[in-house]
Amino acid sequence: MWQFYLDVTKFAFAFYVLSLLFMSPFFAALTFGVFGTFMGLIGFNQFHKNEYYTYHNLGYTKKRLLTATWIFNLLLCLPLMGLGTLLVMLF
Amino acid sequence: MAVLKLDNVNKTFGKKKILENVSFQLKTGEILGIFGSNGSGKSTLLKILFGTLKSDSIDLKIEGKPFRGSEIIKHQKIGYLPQFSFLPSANRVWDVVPKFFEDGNLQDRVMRDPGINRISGRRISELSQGERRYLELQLVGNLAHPFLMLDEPFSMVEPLYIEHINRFLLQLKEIKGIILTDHYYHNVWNISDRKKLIKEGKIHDISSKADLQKFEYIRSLD
Repeated sequence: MWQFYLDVTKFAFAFYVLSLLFMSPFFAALTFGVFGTFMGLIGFNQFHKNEYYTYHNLGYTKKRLLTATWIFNLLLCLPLMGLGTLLVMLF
Repeated sequence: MAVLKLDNVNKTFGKKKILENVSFQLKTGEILGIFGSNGSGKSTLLKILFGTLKSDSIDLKIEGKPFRGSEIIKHQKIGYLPQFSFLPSANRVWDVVPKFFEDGNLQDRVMRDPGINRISGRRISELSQGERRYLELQLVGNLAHPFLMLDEPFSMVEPLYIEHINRFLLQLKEIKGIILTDHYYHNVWNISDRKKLIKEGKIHDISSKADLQKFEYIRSLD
């Protein structure tokens, strides 16, 4: 499960870094939290799709994997948003 | 003894009927071999049973309890070895094993298997087809599911590993019900307790190799 989170979030994080080029750190973090997981899922489906069978054999459905990852990333976006706001205030 | 009872599986892709009223039973302690030519619907049937493909209709009961769609996954009643490799290719064997088994004794059992022990430090991407297949079978087979479905476990596997796989399947049969499909039909034939064949969407009982010939699965009985 943790491996799935990391594999999806590495693509989601790349999306976050890319979005920093186009929007403020606050909104980039918010976009990461809300939409990043879905972008990460596109990357996972492209490069790791067969690995779903590992998780299914261990009892994890796609829905459960996606929900847990989305909630984790939504929580992660809160400190990122705070950090982004702080950086804008400082510089 | 657990019983898997499958009734009335129907599946169409567009206008093509892939499976038509497929029904069978499987008990723990037996191996059911399913034959069928390419595109006959064997893998489709296994994916439907595993809950990763929707069917038009299905009535699946395990130990009398009905299951529908992907809910079978979270109850861990059926393990599935798909045709293709499904392990993270960058991981080493000794990293993958603990991901499947929290229990240290089970980890030890798998790691001490002679076929696994000698490849334990290698990356999945460095393994031969046979080594990878055997590892996948060990991982899925040692999980606690009462039923196990194996889609082409012998495919591209060298003879030494085929012996390992046969031995392992006979061990697993003591506690699991196994569905086995493979185009290396001699291997499936030799190890299966019962045989069936899918042709034009329908499932047929097979009692002799002459039946395989009758359904045009093989040309000769050699």
